[in-house]
Amino acid sequence: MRRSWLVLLAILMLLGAFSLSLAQTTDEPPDTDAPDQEVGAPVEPGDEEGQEPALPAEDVEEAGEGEEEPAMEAPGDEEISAGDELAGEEVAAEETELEEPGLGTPGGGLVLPRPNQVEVFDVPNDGGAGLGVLWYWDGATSAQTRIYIEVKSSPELLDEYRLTDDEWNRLSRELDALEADLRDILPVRNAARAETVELDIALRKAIADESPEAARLRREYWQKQIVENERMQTRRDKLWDRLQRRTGRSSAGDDRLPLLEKYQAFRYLEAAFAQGEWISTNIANVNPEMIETKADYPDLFGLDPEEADKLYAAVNSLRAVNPAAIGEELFVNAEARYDYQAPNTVSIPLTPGVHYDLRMVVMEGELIQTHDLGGAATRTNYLDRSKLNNLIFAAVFAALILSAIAIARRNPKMFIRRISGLEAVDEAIGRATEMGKPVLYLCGLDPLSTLPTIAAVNILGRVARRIADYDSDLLVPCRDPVVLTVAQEVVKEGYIDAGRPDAYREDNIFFVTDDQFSYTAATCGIMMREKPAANFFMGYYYAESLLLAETGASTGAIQIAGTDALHQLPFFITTCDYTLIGEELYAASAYLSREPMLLGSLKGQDIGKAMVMLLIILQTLFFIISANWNWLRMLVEPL
Amino acid sequence: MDFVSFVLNLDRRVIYTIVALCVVVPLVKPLSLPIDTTPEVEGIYDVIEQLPAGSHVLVAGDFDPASKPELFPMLEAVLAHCFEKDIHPHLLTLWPAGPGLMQRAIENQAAIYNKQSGTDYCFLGFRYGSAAVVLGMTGSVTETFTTDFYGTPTATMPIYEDVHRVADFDYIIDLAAGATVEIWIAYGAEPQGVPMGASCTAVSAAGYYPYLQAGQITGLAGGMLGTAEYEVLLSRNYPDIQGDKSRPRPTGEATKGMDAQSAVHVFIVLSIIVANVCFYLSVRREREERRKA
Amino acid sequence: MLFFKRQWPVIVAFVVGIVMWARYYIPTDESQTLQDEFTRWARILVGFAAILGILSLLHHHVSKIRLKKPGFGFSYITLAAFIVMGLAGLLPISWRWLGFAGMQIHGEGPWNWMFNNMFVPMQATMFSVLAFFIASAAFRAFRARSMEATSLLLAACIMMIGRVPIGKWIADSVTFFNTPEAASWLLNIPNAAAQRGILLGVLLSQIAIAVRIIFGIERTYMGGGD
Repeated sequence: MRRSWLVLLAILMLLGAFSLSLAQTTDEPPDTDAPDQEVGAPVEPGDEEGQEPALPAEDVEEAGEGEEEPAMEAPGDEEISAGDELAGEEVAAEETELEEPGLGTPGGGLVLPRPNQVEVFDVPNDGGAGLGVLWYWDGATSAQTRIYIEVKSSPELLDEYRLTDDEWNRLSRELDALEADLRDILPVRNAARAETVELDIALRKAIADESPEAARLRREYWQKQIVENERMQTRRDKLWDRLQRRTGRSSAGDDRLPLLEKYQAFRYLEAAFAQGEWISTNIANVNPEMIETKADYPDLFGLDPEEADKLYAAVNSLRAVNPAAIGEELFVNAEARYDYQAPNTVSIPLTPGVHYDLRMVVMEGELIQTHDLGGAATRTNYLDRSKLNNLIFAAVFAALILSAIAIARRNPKMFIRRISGLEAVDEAIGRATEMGKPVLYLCGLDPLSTLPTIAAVNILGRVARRIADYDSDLLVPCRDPVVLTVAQEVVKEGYIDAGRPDAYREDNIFFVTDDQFSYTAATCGIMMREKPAANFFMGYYYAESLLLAETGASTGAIQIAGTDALHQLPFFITTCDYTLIGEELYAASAYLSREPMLLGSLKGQDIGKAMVMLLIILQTLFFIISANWNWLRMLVEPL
Repeated sequence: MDFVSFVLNLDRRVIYTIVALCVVVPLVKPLSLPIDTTPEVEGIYDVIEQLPAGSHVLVAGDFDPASKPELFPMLEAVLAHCFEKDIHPHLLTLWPAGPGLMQRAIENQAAIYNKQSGTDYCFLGFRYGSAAVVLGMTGSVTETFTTDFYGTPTATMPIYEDVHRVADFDYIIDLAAGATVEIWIAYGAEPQGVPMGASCTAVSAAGYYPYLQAGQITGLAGGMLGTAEYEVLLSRNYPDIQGDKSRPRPTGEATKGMDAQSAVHVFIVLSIIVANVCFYLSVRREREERRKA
Repeated sequence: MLFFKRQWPVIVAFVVGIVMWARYYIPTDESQTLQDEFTRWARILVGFAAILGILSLLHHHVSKIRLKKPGFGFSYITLAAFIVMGLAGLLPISWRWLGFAGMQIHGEGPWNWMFNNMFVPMQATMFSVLAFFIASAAFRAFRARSMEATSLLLAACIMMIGRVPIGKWIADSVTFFNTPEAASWLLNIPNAAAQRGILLGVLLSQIAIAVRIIFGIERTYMGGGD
């Protein structure tokens, strides 16, 4: 048997070494020196094979508050592309002389900071909707500097959102149906809404004046607000839900956006491209001093990346303005016909598998500079590599537990140290039998979905069997109805296993209430009236733990508690005769039943704990000797 | 019966009476003991203080009336702090008995600061599911809470223009009477990269220090003392409501309660010392009697 | 039929467990949509559990009244409270209908009044009983019988004095022993270390039980043991 454990440990250490080597290959983006080098195969228009499957949409609609996008370019300014010398060149008609030293050059030309050593890449560990940009500044930024990252328009980009004929027919059909159905609803709702506002004012005045009219006004307010306004609004919402449901998936397999949002995105982008070649993104009007560096993103670049002070920004959506800004409405009379207000701006997520060209606009006051950043294609990432260490640990522990259970099945004579609380179970039940008093068993206050309750119910089965053997009574007041059902089954099985099915009383396992202190009061009442000789408090407890245990102590019962509620342990330790602390609760089930499955699981947990202790000792040692232990941190830290 | 036996056999009701007096007298005649602030509570206060106007803070009030004295004043203090800085709090609760208290707190503070639901704050109410609710909010807040507590649809609220999911919040604070802090850390704050603070009952506070030291929560306000410290920080930096000298900030409920708590704690410590001294004397006496016998 | 009682739940638990485990490592939008769907189903199912709780409560107390078991009078009170509170919460009852025309609380109703004036004080009262119980338990049970009990006692006293303002006052005025600092040290060093150890052990146990449930080894949740 010892050899099997050694072999298991060796396999685990090998797995650990393997995972270490995987963890060291951090996800650095490919180095692109030239700004216009692309990462990944660019997707040619119409190249379906190169395209990643489209993703379901998020709601891109934004209810704007009149928030205006800043102008893409300051009017009258010329664009200056990267590499142009600014000294001696007039930048703009209304050039502002900057006072900061280093930014001005003799002859009147001013130099804004410019990005260099730019890298553009697909952001790993996301769903495929982001492009990352890394750069250094050549020159100094100030609190007034602002940057924008923009995406170049292209017919291919617009085609992503163009509706096919089928899609357009479907959308039109549904919009017509919506309009027809809303014709009866909207006038009633809008009228009720207006009257509700007036009635509310009048009602408040009547209440303040203690006028007899208040009762009549309240009735009318109720009629308008609830019956007409809210009911009509609910019907309107249901019709809109129907529209979204019926147009939720477009026909060509691109189910990333529902049809309405797709059409909206198309029209907004069309309007944006009509205004200029470049379209704004989520990186807009950003102060460069607020931008974080590579070191701030260990989940993307690791704990100790090269060029850690390089600035990093992620572009994940396009920002487009309502076409009404250039005189083109999304729908004619949309509010009256569909009760729909087009938002002022929308945020359109980037599409996986599409190539985007980027540029950076640097502004300070009225000075503007633009710089081509190059481009890259977004890719759908199917594995979040920042969670790789988590996956490895989870897989290793799962394998450990399952292997230990398999070994335990072949060799069931496994040693578990004595747990004093459990040795006392027999004593407690025997005492109850002698005194002719029942045993009270509580499964805790959590629902069955929680693990302490499962462990408590497990132990209940074993205790029920012992009680059936001793021919004693068992009371199990439950707080959760699902726990009640399972507890009844478990106790019944225990009695059947002991060969005493006739002694089982279903009424002894009962539901009390699901309110915490009402349950506590009821259970304390049972303790005071029935005076059980033994109390078992197993499971998860909250503030009522001391109330229960102190009441039980006052009746003179022997008390055994088992909980992993760390906050309640001191109360149980003080008032109970025996306490199972933390995972002793989980070990108790194995101890009582000696089942191979439970024993093996316990052994596996112990090995897992030994591994964790080893890692803690290693980390402590490395910290003390100031060695470079980032490789170990990569293995264990959540990134 | 000598003093030692009298103490060791003291009726529980005498202890209950003294405890009652220790609570009532300081509430009637305040001692105004000074309260120092600790880095744990400053860890919550400073984060909210540094948030710019227009930020969004998720306030989870996961407690019921049983924990009201410890957590309700903290809820009011956090809301007042948010409104002073024009931060938008989004309130919700994972406990069924929580909405009543949260409604009272938000309506009180909204009336004081003249804030509007849907624009300046949103009270989402309660949903069953605990971890399932938090997970749902990581996808979409407005789909998990399609209406707020008052029945108004959330999707069209101005406050949800820029906030769609948990990751869009600037800070999360959980006022927990139970074990919801772990749920918010594991499913909300950590995976979504949102900083988080916790305020909890005194008995739970000790259990959250590992999270505090690991940086998974920025600060921890434990029990009534933690709440009182937060109130002290708020009063120190905002002595008047919205800077209006005619509206000085009233003393917080937790600050008032600390006098009573101090008295009870002193009584319990003294009673433990006295009981142990008497216990030691009685054991020595028994040993002597046995030796004589 | 036995298949649906025995094997089917295990298959469902396995498939859903593996899928949701794998989903955590997949960052795509479909993955997030899957999680949203599952959590929506979970919220719906949990809501039904609330109905189950109500039905169980009613069944228990009605049968207690019918069979006139000891304490059945309390069942009458429970049912009455349940019906009154339930109706007040579900129906739009106004004070005027109940005959309290003078009590005009715009926006509030009987449910809010009962919650704020009955439920809140009663729950607060139950919780406040703890203060008395703690005092009597501390007086009765905190004895320095051994080294461990003595160190527990000392730590408890330092914490109790250090975590209230009077601790600072005592430290400044009467003695050099800074109980607030000592309490903070106790919380941050030995307490955190012990809590961390217990937490690690408990969480490993939870992983083990979760693995057992996913792989069908643990079937207690189905009722009736393995």
